[in-house]
Parts: sequence; C-alpha cells; structure tokens
Amino acid sequence: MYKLMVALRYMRRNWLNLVGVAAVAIGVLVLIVVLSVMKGFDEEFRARVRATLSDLIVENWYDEPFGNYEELMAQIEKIPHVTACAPRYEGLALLTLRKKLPDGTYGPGQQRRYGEFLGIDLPREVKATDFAEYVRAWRGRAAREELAALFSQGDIAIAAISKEHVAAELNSLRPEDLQIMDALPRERLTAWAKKEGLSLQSAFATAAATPVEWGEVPDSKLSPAFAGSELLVIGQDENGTQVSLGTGDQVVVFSATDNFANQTFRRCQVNGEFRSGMYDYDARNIYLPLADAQRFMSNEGKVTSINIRLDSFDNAPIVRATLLGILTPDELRRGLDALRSLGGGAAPKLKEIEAQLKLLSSSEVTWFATADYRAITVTRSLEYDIYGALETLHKTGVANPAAEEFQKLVLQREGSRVGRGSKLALRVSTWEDKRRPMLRAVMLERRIMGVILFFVMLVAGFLILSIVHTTVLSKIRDIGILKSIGGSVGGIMSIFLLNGLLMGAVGSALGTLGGMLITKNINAIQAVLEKMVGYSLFPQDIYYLDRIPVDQHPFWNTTVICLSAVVVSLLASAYPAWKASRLNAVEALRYE
Amino acid sequence: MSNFLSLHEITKEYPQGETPLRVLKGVTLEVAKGEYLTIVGASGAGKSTLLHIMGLLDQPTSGELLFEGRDLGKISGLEQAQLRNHLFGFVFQFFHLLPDFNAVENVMMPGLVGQGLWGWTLTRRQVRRSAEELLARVGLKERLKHRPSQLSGGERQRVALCRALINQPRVLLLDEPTGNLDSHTGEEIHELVRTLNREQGQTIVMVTHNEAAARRAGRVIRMLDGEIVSC
Ligand SMILES: Nc1ncnc2c1ncn2[C@@H]1O[C@H](COP(=O)(O)OP(=O)(O)O)[C@@H](O)[C@H]1O
Ligand SMILES: [Mg+2]
Repeated sequence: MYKLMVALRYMRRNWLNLVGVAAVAIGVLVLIVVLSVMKGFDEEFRARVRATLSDLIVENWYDEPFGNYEELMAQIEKIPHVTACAPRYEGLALLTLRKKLPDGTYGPGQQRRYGEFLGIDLPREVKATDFAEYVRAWRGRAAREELAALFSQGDIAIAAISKEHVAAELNSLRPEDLQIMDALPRERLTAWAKKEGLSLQSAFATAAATPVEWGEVPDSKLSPAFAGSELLVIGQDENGTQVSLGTGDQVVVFSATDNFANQTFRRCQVNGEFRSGMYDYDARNIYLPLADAQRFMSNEGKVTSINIRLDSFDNAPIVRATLLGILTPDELRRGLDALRSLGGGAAPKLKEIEAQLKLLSSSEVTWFATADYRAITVTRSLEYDIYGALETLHKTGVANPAAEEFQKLVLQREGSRVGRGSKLALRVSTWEDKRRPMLRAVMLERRIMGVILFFVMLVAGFLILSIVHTTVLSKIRDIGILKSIGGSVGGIMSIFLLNGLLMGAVGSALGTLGGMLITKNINAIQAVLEKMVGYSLFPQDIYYLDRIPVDQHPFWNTTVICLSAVVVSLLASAYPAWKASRLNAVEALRYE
Repeated sequence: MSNFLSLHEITKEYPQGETPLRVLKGVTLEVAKGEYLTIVGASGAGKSTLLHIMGLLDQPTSGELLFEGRDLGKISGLEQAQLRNHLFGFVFQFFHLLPDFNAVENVMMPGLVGQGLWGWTLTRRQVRRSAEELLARVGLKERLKHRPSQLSGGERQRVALCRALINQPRVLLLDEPTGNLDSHTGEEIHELVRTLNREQGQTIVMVTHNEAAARRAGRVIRMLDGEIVSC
C-alpha cells in the first residue's frame, strides 16, 4: 500500500517523529509503572485492612451483646456456602501496660492506652478468620532474636547449640520472618541446616501446621492474651534501645462502658504478639479468650458478633439474604420479570417497583452496601408488592412456573431467616462494608491518579498533533502531486493518520517494554537508587513491607493504557490529516 | 460530437471583488482518440486551467466534460481520483516529482496508488518491473535509484513522463513540459511524445510554446483570454 510506504518515508526523513515516539513511550511507561505499583499497594492494603475480618459479620442491629448465639451459629452453619463461623465479644477498653520488674513483681503501669479488646473462641476463630496467620507470624519474636544473635556470633556459636534447639525455634518461625532478618544470612542458615540434616522446608511446614494456643498462665486471675505488636512498645531506655512488653508481662484491660458505678477490669498476661501490618489494629487490639471477656464484662452467654467464613466471597449476597430472610436484588428482578411476562399487575405500581429495584441494585446506594436497615425494609416491601400482584393474577387464573417459583422462594426465604422467633434484629455486613471508607478512599485515589497521569498522554497527543501538522505543511506540494496521480481524500488522510498511529503504536510498544522491565525489577532499581542518593527511599519500618509491591497481573491495565495511547495518537493526527486531505490539488501544486 | 473526450461550454471563474475573474469563457473542444492536440497562447490565457479541468484536477464553474459519453462532472470524488489515476497521465512544467523517493519509486507511485483504488491485482513487483522498463526506454536505466535532486532537468522530466505513462492512461496531458528545459533537451522530450503518439496511438493534449514543433505533429489550437481563437 502506497499510504504506508509514503507515511514511513516521511517519518524516516523527520527526526521529530522520534520525539513523538519518545513522548508516547514515556507516557505509557509512567502510567504502567505508577499504576502497577499503586495496584500492588492496593492489594497489599486490602489484605491489611481486612486483617482478621471474616467474610460476613453478624451483629445485633442495636449494637447490644446478644445471647443464644450457639443456637444462631448452629442455624448459620446449615446455610449453603458457609464453611465456618466463630463468636466474638468485642469492646472498647483502657489498657495499662505492666512490665515485670527484676524482683518479679509488677510495678504501677508504665503506659496507658486506649484500645479494643476482642474475646475470641480460639479453635473456632482460626477456622473462621485468618487470625492464625497474624499471630503465628509474630509469635516467635523472642526466638527470632535469639537465633539472630547466635548466628551473628559465627559458626562456633551455632555449633555449640544443639540442633534440636534450633529446630524447635525454627518451628515458631515462618519464611517471611527469615527473609526480613538482616542479621541472619539465609545462605549460612541453609548451609548449616543441610549439614545437620535439617530441612528448612519441613521446619516451615511444621510451623504452619502447629495450632495456635493461648499458652500457660500462672493463676486463674490472669487471662492469656495476644497483643498488637505496636501496643507492646513502651518506649526507649537510656541507651536508646526499644523497650517493649515480652513474655510474662501484663496488660490490664479496663472496661470502657457507661456503667459508672461498676468499673471492671481484667489482668492479662501477654503470651504472644499479633501483627497485621495495619498500625491501627496493631496499636490497639488485644485478644483474649471469649469466656474471660464475657465474664469480665458480666455478660456471660452473650457475644457482640458472629463471624462467618464462606467458600467464596462471591456468595456473600446470597448468604446474607438467606440470613436476613429476604431476597437478593437479582431474585427480586426475576419475580418482576415473571410479573411483566404475565402482562399483569397495576401498571403504575410496576413502574414504582422498577424504580425501587433499580435503586437497590445500584452500587452507588451506599446505605444498601453498608447493610442499612432501610435496604431490608425496601426489599421486604418489594417482595410484598410483587408477591401481591402475582397473587392477584393467580386468582384470575393466570399463572406460570416462574411466578410460582418466585412465590415459593419468598416463603422459603422467610422461613430460613436466622433468629426467627427471637426479638433479635440482625445486621449482616461484609468485611468490605466494615471498611468501606478506607477501601473507597484507596479506590478513588487510584482513579484520580489514572486521570492525572492521563494528562501525560494528552501532552504527548498535542506533541503528535504539532509534529504531524509540521509534516503536512512541509509536504503540501507532495499532497498535490499525490492527488494528481489519483490519491483520494481518504488516501491522503490515511498517510497522515498512519503517521500518528505509528508514533502511538511504536511508542506504546517501547513504553510497555520499558514499563515491564521497570516493574519487574523495581526492587533492584530501588536498591541502586538508594546507593546513589544515600538514604532509604522505601523505609521498611514505615510500610512494613520488605519490597515494593507491584501488580502481579498487569495485562488489562497495560492493554487499556496502550489502547488509549494509540487512540490519543490517532485523534491527535486526525485534524492535520483532515486538513491535508482537503487541500486543493492545483493550489497545492502551485505552493512554493 | 465524438465519443472520446469532449468539453462543452466550459467556464471557470474566480471570485474577485464585485465582478468575478473569468479565466475560461465557454470553451468547447473535441479531442479525438489518438489525436495529438497542441494548445498555444500567451501566458495567462487560461491554458493550464483548461488542462487541469480536462484532467479532473480542477472543477469548472459550469460546462460539461464528457469522456466516451460519460459526464465526468457528475461522478463522486473517489471516482474522479480513480480516473486521475488510470485515465489521465499528467506531466507538469516543474516536473513535480516526490523529493523523498527515487526515480523508480516515483514512477511506480501511480501504480501503487491504483492497487488500493480499484482492486488491481498488479503486484508490487509487476509495477516495479514496468517502471524499470519505462525508465530504460527513456534512457534512464542507470538512474533508477537516483533521487530527483540528483537528476538534471531533462532527466527529471523523463521520469515524470514515465510516471504519467505507468498506468497506460487513455489521455496524456502535458503542461509546458519543456518550459523549464533548454531547447535541446526540450526537443528530446517532444520527440519522445511524438513517438508515443505515432507508434502507440497515444492521445496527447499538450500546452507548449514551441509552435513549430507542434505544427509538425498535429492539430494546434490557440487561446486568448480564456477563449479559443483559432483551430
Ligand atoms: N486560484 C486563482 N485565483 C485567481 N486567479 C487565478 C487562479 N489561478 C489562476 N488564475 C488566473 O487565471 C488566469 C489563467 O491562468 P493559467 O491557466 O495558469 O494561464 P496559462 O497557463 O495560460 O498561462 C491567469 O490570469 C491567472 O492569474
Ligand atoms: Mg500555465
């Protein structure tokens, strides 16, 4: 095709085209790198924000502790898609940190904090939430420090300790612990383990399989507890080393209720550490046995929430609807479709139902997403309306299987409501509902970043526009010649559109390549940059991350970025190309 | 009316102040198949304008342009482009070669344009071969890879002539092809065109100042102020 041939020739003869390619490449590269790092952070952040939240959380609508929870849990466990559930008693508390003094007594509290106590049923909790992940990962801090000290002394020290001892310590570690321990060279550890006939892999496997336990306490007045890693930090001693609570130290939990006359407290012995990576949780949460929490709050037999794990988070809507005894928006729609296919119902009512249903299914209605009671009320009234309309039709002899199915479903769902017969009104939230403000903030942030970065693309577009425009200006006579030998309006236009398109496509390809290289090696690049500038660009203690997270599946992002780059280039060249194609042949030939 | 190329009452006006500038004032002309027609006249008489209208490079203000009975004023822009590609071959006074392409590529260009336009099945290689043959025939066998800036005026015009011929046009239109050449090279071009007419029956419409040469070849018409004054 002569168009491509001419376009390529013009591009080769004008170095400005390289500038256009570079502009697109830089735009694409920046978009890919920034968005994929942001997505990496987001994924990391989502996991952090979620921490020990289960898929669904059932609470009392009135935020009071509720009893009879064993029976409720038995009902919940029968619902399809539910794999486990666990009760919790949570509440606000004032916390006093008490470090064991050298003489074995506990002095007055060194620090006061406000925080949250969470009474959990450990065996059930580890099944219903990811609690074990966070506790086990950090339980072995003492062991880790001991090992690190040994290894830093050299091989003689290692040889002096028995391999059983190290193996036992290894059991309380996880691979992540080892990775971030600078003092512990992995190669040496691996070499040593090999020499002693120890498999690190199996040590890690054992560590993962060891069940989480509360641990021992000296007397029944104390509760065993796991406290957030940041909560345990008291401060620094005169030498500047960090002082924190450790094995045997105590946290006293004071209830923060409106029961002024009867302030209660519970002393807890810290038997382990909890670390989720979210400062808010790690600085405030203290976990203790459910029964202890209930007793200390004088609320035996009651809990504040039931936490449910599902086979898949995708099933959250249907399980939630089942729990509440209502239909999902999809099911309501099916009922409405049945009603409409029967041609029945009062027409104005139908429109109203339609509008309400649209509101319900819209993701913009936050009060539905946040498990507001209004959503339940609206759903119930829609059920009632559709059911009633179908019933009226039924009486007049019109019926079809879909309508009957809908009616059956309404009754069946009502029957399956958890807590039926009790006065308890439930609120059922997903973990996303619970953390919606934070999740929304992050999502918005990425969108806004995308929009801002798109301006880089726009600038590249303007550059392409002026480059193609210059080419057109310098080729006016050529355009006249091409027209005189049969070049059509479309043909001339294609030449200059191809010019822009090629700049966009080549730029996108180069930008993608560069972006991929950078994101794949971002941590190595960071290390090199840090050496050059001499300070830490990515302090691990701020982010709790040992590496910069990147999007692991950048396919769609990259495709969208490249497509938009090509579209922008094409649009940018469209105007000069159009101008070129409109040129009058005779005048163009006469142009000097 | 012949049924080859005929112009009927062609006028061309350019808007200018209150009274438009009338460049062509109703030109009626018949060109027979295989004819060698020369247009002479003073500068500014409207010869180029007439030739451009004949070759669909320009639109007349009024009048009809018929080719084999078909009104060429009534066809779409795309079809006009197609006809410019394979019905007419144009040679200009200032050569008008594409400066970024070498001789053979310049000659090939109409063939390549035609590929896309009307589904010719000519391959690029076929186009190249006939371009090389044409250039060899005008004595530029050694100059295939030279760019226009590396060629002399006469050589450039011969390349332009080859380009006009590559699609075997029905009508060859030449607008003062020798106007920028010395008389010797000019005579060579005239000789080439004459040979084309004589040996292949190529229809020629040429604007020139070399009236003597023109008289020897065929019919001559004279234009004055946008009108044909003598045949
Ligand atoms: N675009 C234009 N606008 C106004 N006048 C024009 C334009 N093109 C040509 N003319 C005028 O038309 C007349 C005829 O021009 P042309 O056909 O080039 O003459 P010739 O080729 O016989 O020397 C000239 O007087 C010229 O000034
Ligand atoms: Mg002229």
